[in-house]
Amino acid sequence: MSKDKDFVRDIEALAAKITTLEQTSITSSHEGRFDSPAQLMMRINAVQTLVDQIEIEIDKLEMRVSAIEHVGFRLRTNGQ
Amino acid sequence: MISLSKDIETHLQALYHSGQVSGYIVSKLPEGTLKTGWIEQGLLSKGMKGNLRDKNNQESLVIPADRFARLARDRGDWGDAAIVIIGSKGLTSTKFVSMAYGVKGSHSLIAFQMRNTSPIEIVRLLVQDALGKNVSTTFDEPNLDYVEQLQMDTSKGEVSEMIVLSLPKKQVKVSEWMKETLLSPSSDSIEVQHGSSNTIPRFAALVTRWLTGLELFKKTPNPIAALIFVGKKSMEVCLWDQPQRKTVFATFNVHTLEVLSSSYLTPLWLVPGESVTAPKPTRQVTVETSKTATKPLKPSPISSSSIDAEKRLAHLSKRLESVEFQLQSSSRDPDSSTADTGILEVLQTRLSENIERIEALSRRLVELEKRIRKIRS
Repeated sequence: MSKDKDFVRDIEALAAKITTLEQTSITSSHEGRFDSPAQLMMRINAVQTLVDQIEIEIDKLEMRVSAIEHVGFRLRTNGQ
Repeated sequence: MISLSKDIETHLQALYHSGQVSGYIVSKLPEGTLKTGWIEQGLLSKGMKGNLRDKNNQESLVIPADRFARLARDRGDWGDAAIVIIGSKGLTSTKFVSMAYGVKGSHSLIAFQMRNTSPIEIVRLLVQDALGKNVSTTFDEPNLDYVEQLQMDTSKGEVSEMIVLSLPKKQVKVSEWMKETLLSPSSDSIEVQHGSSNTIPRFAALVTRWLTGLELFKKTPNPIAALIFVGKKSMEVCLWDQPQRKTVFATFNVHTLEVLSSSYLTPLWLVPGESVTAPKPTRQVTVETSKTATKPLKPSPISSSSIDAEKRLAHLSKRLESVEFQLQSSSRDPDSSTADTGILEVLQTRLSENIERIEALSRRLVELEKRIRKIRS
């Protein structure tokens, strides 16, 4: 599995998006001050965009795992 | 502020959040054969309720988009773009829209379901935000009889070839009927015809087989469809008007997509009594650059390919859980006394929806981890 470069690349892409999400989520209320509605909206938009992107990355990973499962099944059943 | 009005992904995302687009996908169209799963593999952006693989999303977006990409590939000779719009009668009825576009070697496919938007506004969105062309500010009232308009355009030399057919009243296999009709020049079903090359019959046979075999089209009540293949010098168009039992196949020499949409698509979808108004200017989408300093990504402790995927996914799932917890804590911040409570409530609802999505994503990663463990065992 770890030799599958595409798979590793997709996991790295997912990890990068999660890192950005982590950075976005901690820029919220800081030093005792809270977001104004406008700031909160921008932050939620940013979070939503990242959640969309993370969802895409997980879709891709699921596709890859399905493909690997399919190949494994064909090997086990000798292509029958 | 950076204006990204020409960025179709940003625009679709904004329309999705506003509710005007109920679902969309943008995917890279690979060169060569379209292998199963190419939309998911090449996905650049999406917005939809639930998962891409949910039955509803597959039937309303992914499958028709995949079918259209294959049709566009079969046509082969479109230059700038290939577009399909399908929906029930009514300018603002919900419509499925898909477009394949791009330059050789770099094609993309977009597909979306859009409501409360007239065909001309849809075409302007595609022209401006995907094709990056300017849209005109003028709007002429269209002739409401599009067959008459076609005859007028033909007499002006703007249409090199065309055929208008009356669709059969009785239940027949339409693709077979079409082939027979096109082979009989004296058929009663032919209302108007101009030109006699072999281009239109081939185009008509291919598009009819494609459209009448498409589940999305079959399930649409009183379906209307427009297919437009924009070539370098001409534009091949199919207008399918099931409510009026008419179909048009034509090759235009000079029309632009905008003129075509106002002169033909508007009367095609218009319901008697519906008002034809000038399209609203496409709303600008602005995004602000992130104020968060983008730290260079330090080598992740899980970046080494020697650590197996299972552990990586478990770790990522935990990180997502932690983000979820953090957002949950911030969403309970009590300091809302000075702000507009109504706006805050709406925003908190959106935040909660995203928290739920993060939770679901974390669960999906756990499931993936289990599937990988099973493969390894």
